[in-house]
Amino acid sequence: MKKFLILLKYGLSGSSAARTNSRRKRGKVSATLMPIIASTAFGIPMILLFGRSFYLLKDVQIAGTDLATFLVSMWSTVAGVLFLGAFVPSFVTSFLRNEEVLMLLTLPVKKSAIVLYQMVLTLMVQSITVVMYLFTIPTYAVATGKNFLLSVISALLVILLVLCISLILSIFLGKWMNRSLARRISMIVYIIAIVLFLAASQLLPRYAFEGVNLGSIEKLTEVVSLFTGAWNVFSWPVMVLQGEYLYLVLLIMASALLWVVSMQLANNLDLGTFSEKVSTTKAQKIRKNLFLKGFYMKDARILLRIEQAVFMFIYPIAFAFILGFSTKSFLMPVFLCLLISTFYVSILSATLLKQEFLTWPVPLNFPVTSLQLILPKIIVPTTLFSCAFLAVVLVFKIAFNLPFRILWMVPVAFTLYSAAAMLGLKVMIKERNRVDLSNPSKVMSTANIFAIEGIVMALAFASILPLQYYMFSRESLLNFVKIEALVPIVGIGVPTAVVIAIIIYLVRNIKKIALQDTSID
Amino acid sequence: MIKARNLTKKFGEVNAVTNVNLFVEKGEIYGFLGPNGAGKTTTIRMLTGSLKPTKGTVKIMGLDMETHEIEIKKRIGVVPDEPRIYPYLKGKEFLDFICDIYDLNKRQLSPRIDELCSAFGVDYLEKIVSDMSHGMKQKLYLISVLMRKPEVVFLDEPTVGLDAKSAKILKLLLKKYIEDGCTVFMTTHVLEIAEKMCKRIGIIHLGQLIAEGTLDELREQTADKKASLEDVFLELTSEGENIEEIIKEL
Ligand SMILES: Nc1ncnc2c1ncn2[C@@H]1O[C@H](COP(=O)(O)OP(=O)(O)O)[C@@H](O)[C@H]1O
Ligand SMILES: [Mg+2]
Repeated sequence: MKKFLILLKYGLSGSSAARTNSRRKRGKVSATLMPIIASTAFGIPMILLFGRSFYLLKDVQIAGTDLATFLVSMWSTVAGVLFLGAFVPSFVTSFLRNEEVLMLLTLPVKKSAIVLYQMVLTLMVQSITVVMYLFTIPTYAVATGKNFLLSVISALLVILLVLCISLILSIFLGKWMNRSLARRISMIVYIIAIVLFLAASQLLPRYAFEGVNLGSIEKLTEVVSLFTGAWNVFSWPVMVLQGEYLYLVLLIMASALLWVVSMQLANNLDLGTFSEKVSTTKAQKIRKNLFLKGFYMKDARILLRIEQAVFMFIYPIAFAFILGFSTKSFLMPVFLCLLISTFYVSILSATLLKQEFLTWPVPLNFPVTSLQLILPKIIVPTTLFSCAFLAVVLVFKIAFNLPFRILWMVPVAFTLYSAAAMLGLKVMIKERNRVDLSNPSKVMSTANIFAIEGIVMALAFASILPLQYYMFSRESLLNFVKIEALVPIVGIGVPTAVVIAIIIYLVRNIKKIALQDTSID
Repeated sequence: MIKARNLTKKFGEVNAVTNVNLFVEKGEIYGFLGPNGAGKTTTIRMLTGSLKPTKGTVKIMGLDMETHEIEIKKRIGVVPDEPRIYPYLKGKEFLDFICDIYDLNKRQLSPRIDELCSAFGVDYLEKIVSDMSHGMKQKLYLISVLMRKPEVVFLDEPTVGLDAKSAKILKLLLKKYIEDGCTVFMTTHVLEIAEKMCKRIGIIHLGQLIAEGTLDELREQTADKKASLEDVFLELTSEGENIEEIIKEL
């Protein structure tokens, strides 16, 4: 355990040799504060959305369970399955071509410490997925008047349990996992989760809002018992909250047991041969794309080949659909999808630039300007995520019969993504001597990850919400700002100002990059 | 073809390269020798425009590096000391990438790529780069440079990491290459290669060019007129005098 903390200390801060004392202190503060701030910022819309739903649904009974309990069980199950499906493959594959782990293996450190360390690194970038789960259960407890403290404890226990399960799964999968398989598994898990959820959510609201539908009541009972059944670990906290303390004991025992088992397994792991099985390729056709050239093609390829990146691309979409269709709401799911995507765009653009630094100084020999080298790192992830966002908004538009004006969000999303990409690049450029290139899970320091998360969230809040409320729910905006004259100023002025500021920021930085010497050391 | 005047590079306090003057003619293989840390890589990086000199000028093919950086880079080829290639690409995709970057027609190059691949025994273009060994990557990188037939090639310790057969093939290829009127600038610390291949040799030590010329001219500078390049090298870099003492002390 001590070794693990040492690894974390050096691993997360990068090489600390170059830092002065005062800077280190500041880094420490922001490293502990920023995660809290960022996840709170992210949790608030979740709390609001779920809190209201839980409160409304808690008195509606169905098949012996109230709907709030059903919803929370369903949501935590799906969130948990999504997490397992996404985390396990990306955790396993993070050991591939990981020179840092190979280096650590030569040190007198227990393997379990290395495994834990790599797990924290993988988690760090995906902290949002954990927050999703962590906030739901306490929200449910408060909305339905249950024990708050108990809800936090049991939610944390479940997360520990899930981490142990994924560790054990990873260890077994790692023995025969290769990259394409990893990607396929996470795809399948996503599809299953989405289908399951859509099916369930189609049944749920019809009952909740239109009264009893006798034809589906049997099916519904099945679905309900599926999610609230005793086998479903993810819903154990819910049962604990309903006074079944046996499940608390079970949770504690199971997580303790699995913890010991997974540490044992980790210590016996043969990390050095955690290698990729080379697929015996049948002369594959090289896909040709007319629109992408050189760096664009390469960067897009790399993005689609890094499994963490594939996860980051799919997760916000799956998230928006699941949340949107289960709560029958539009704004919050789409907004949260935008928030997650914005954050991931900056991580991905930094990852793309990291690929160039991995081969440094080779790219300096290419006959390209620094702008030609850098611009694809902004454009590729931004375009990819903008298209995804457009698709999400369009689906909601059709499904909920929303007006076309709703599409205004897409160009704003594009600007936000570009800003996020630029932020990611700048941090990467600034940190390039500190970021450890040998570990694919390390993109930037934790403090910077969360700083970016905070900044992009603030930008997204300011540019989306006021105008959205101004256009579709003027009264709530008036309620918020109180003074009638302020409504258009806040509603239109703030988002416009933010977008203009972002564009100025982009243009200035692009000019700066264009003028920059390629021959920086 | 290659002209450098007063080339100087300081990394903070470290004088990596000091006032190096170089002149390499068309069709020549120039060998750049020096002990570890002498400044060979730094010099090559400045000559190829991937590192800005603190002082001095570089002209390649009559073009000034200061003003024609991109054009020069487009026409030369550089094989760095470490073959760093994007780990997530397949070998073939890397070659495609290079074709795109240099505006080359892949179709036209394809026979040449095949030739080079079979010469070096490269049959792993479908593999992901990160699964390749050091030598495999190096051969892939060599192919990506040589397939373009650049007018000037810079190679930084090209034979390190290559197996005997590939090293031999590289030597033969380079010889054939200069017959076509191209120019080669290579650093090495394998003296035997320099001795056999290079018309002229420059020796750099502690960042300074301490000797330059054909092998015979270099011998002139030492006491023993029949000395091998190894003796000349060790004497010039003043490491010869105490080697025996060092061995004794061990
Ligand atoms: N990026 C750098 N920063 C600081 N010092 C460097 C850098 N690159 C090289 N040096 C120093 O310059 C000197 C020459 O290095 P190099 O040109 O790599 O030698 P070699 O002849 O072995 O290729 C060495 O003392 C090395 O430490
Ligand atoms: Mg060198």
